[in-house]
Amino acid sequence: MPSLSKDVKAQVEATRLPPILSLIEQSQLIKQGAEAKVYKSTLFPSPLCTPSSSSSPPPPALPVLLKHRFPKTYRHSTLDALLTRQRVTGESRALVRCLKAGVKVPGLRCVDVKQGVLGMEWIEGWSVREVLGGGQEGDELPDEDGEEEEEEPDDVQEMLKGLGVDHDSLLQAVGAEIAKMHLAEVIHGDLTTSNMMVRLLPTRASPNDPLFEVVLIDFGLSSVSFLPEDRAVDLYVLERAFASTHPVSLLPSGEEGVPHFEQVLLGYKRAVEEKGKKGECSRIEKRLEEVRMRGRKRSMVG
Amino acid sequence: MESFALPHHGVTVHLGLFSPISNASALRTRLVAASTLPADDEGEAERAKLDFAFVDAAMLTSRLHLLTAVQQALLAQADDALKTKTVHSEVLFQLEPGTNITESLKHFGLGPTTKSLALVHIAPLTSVDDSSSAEAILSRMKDLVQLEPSSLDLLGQLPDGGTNEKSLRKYYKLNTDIVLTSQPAGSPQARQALDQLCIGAVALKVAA
Repeated sequence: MPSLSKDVKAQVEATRLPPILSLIEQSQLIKQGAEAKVYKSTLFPSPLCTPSSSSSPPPPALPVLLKHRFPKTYRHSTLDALLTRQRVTGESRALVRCLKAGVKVPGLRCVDVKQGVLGMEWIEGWSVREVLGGGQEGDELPDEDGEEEEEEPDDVQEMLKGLGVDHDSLLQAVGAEIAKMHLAEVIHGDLTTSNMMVRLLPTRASPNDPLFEVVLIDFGLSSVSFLPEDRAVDLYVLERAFASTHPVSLLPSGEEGVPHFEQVLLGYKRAVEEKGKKGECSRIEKRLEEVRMRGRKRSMVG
Repeated sequence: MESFALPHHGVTVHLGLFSPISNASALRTRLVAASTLPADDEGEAERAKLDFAFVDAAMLTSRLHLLTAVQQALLAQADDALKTKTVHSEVLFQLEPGTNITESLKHFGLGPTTKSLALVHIAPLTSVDDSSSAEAILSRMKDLVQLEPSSLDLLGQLPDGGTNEKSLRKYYKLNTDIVLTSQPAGSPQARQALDQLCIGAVALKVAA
């Protein structure tokens, strides 16, 4: 179809949009927050193979997630460009730092600092919020990377239960993943159940292999720190998020079971004990107690 | 050879993998000689024949690794921020984590001992179904290496240990990364982790 491609080209030239923005124009908007818009797109389509008689079929187009920090008109344009630049670099650095430490995060696919676009690996799965059957997507929390599926939460829950994924092991895996991230000296800054995805793993080699993995997303508010204080605050933010959406698991009898966050903490402690320095776990635990007493913000008196 | 139509960039990207090549040294000499030819018809014709990015395939972990570098080179071109003279050399520059162009050519470019060669040609957009232009580019690639193309699925696991994981780890400074040291060397997981890290390093280059 030569005419089609000519049309596209003419269109591109006419509008003179930077390439990454014209790609975004053809992408599907998934979510919009105050800071950024999130799209599903493809950076590279399925290629044409020459000679076409090659034995293997052409590789499929891979979906990517594009996060566009659009220009904010309420800021001076110079300041806006600076902030956007800093945030895009900050987020991509945090992602790579996590990748290097083996934390499950979406892989980095493309960075355009000038336009404020970040391309990340597409994670096929559900947010932990959906899996746990929490209420509506939060209005109060800016969760920019949360991905909504069309399916009803009930179906997701039923399906995962059928596969043998129970809530307790999921929550402990969440804790273990956060522990790995903290040991890599990354602080997420916005831990909520919408900012974690559950991805099913392909067929297992042995029955002991895990069925699923937890992928942490949205590092837009992340920072680098190894202080127990920052780690404890990170955990506290998640505890509050659980408290406001789905605090406890319900037993089949309808009674309330163990609080969800307890399970997360269990997995977290286990992983920190195993991989962290001696005494690191108890320091974080102690600090979490303090943070619970006083809240997220440190007292600045004196 | 695989051709990716990227309408948002207004280009089609052709990738060809050739392995094992036998004329690396001669090809490299030809490449160097072509750059010093005078700007007459003959010189331009020779340069047009060699208008490809010559990438040492031993230094690539997957097609996505190479495509990410192409993508970032195209983005730099759109921003008028090419650090090198052509978009083809920019692909090699984007693969290199540092800012030294000569080093990037040394590490990722065609060398006298290169056994597997990846050729990249970035051309103005043609239709996805337009196989004639793809055929023409393929025959130009074949003229250079005197070889039939291999499948790009081989990238990252070239036969006979053709992928130089040791140098990749060194140049991208991955030797202390837990995700690699915790996996047995040569396992599929380790290869996948290496691929992810290399792609991340290339994408992060502009932000680093």
